[in-house]
Amino acid sequence: MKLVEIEQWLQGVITHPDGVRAGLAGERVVPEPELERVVKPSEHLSAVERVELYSDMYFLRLIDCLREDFPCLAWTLGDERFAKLARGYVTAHPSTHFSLNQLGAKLASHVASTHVKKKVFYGELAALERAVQEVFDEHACAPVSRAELEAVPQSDWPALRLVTTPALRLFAFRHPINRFYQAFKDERRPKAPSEAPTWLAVYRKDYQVWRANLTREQHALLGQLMRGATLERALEACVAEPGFDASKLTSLGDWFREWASDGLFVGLHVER
Amino acid sequence: MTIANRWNLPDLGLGLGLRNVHFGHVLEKRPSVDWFEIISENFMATGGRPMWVLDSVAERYRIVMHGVSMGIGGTDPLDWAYFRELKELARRCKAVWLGDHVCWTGVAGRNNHDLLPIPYTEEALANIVRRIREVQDFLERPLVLENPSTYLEFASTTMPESEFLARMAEEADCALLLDVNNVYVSSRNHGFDPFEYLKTIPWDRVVQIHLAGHTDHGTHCIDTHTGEVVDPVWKLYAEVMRRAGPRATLLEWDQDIPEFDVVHAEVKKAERFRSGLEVRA
Repeated sequence: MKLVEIEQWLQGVITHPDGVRAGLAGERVVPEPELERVVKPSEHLSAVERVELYSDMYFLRLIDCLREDFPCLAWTLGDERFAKLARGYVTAHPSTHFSLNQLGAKLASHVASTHVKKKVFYGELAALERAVQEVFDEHACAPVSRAELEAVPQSDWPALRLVTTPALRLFAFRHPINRFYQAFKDERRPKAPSEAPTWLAVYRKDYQVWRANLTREQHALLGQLMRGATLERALEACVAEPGFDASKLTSLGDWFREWASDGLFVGLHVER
Repeated sequence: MTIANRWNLPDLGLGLGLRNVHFGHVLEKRPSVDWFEIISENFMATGGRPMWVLDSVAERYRIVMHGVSMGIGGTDPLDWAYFRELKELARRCKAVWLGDHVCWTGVAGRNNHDLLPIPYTEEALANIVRRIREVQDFLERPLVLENPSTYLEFASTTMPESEFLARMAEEADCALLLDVNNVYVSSRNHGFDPFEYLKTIPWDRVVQIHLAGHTDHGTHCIDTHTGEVVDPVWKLYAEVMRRAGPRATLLEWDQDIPEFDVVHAEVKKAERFRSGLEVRA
């Protein structure tokens, strides 16, 4: 066998979701009876057992990595169900990136594609835990200070385009995910909550990841700003949204002061 | 400081892997460690606190980069986006040298996040030599490549691992990182004499040594980087010091990582062998 054939064969066998023997059973290049033609047995282990060491380590390592990145989801599902989910996930979405940081990037959408009960809740939980990791790892940008924001003349505000930090994720959840997640972190062993819409910002300040509950209106406005709208356009789009309570905009100044203090903006431009 | 390799790369002394559980200790206590080794990829896809920590550590300590995803023994096209990022990281942390493992990590675009074994054949040798040369040209420095722990042997292998390493290093003009624990683990798994293995190593190309603990399952050993370095590995290390003289030596501890002082104390045990106070071979 050529080197490339050996590598393709070994990868296929050690990553087979049902184990090495199942991988070898479906293998035309090197079926199990001919395995010793490729892999030598040792004094103590058969050729299959030696290949199984790599297979076992492959799944253990990646499942452990996902368990570390999604501790709340893993706890909520329990060890066995999480391991099954993770095994299915790495089989459906094998890693193609050099960094294990990227391993769980599609877990939330994978959960949504499964037949797991309460998959919307679990998917939202996975999305939050993924966001925490993404925000932690985002590149650092110098924030616009509250003083810089306040220095913008009032006449310029309608045409103001605020650039949000890349270390910001916004969520509109169908469940009180942040409350559940915080209870988990506080070791209060929370029960899966009933549906109730919530809105959340996940962001980083001083290298720490923070989670801030938002109102529907704050979420809508920040979302428009993230998409690059000027303040005037953002507000127009927001008030046109069903369910948006325009009376809440009386607190607009406070929102921006708070967001600036939290370092959510990293650039400001006035459109001319 | 001893200079004993063809690139005049320095003997950095005794170093430790920089692990996130120790970030706070290192920044606050500034322990008297000679140097730190980082897992390159842990600082390549992140721009937050880990990079800030690395910048801070690099101001006070010498840094060596050791990767796990280069896949230099693989057959997929080299990932130049990866190497561009690797080069930038080396510039940023002023890495004294950088390297990876003699292995492959995936094929057909996949990364299995493991150091997978290659058959020690003429074809695999030609493949890895060509790739090392291309990468070294791009990085403008020699790669420092480590012997892996392996758990299987290919029937097609035509030469011992130590000969493969020696020929690879010579033909590609690269440097070697000799992981003494890996030599021991592989010798147990494949039934070769680790002291014979050392006889073939081109010591003028070895710029770094790794030490670590492993897990002995009786029928085989796994390179788990956990626990203390066992006596047979210290004996091999003593033989390495006898053959090569002092070399930059690093302890890896990656599972059940204890507090910093415990890890630091473990690597300090190497000093007696480096200074020739104890020869166990």
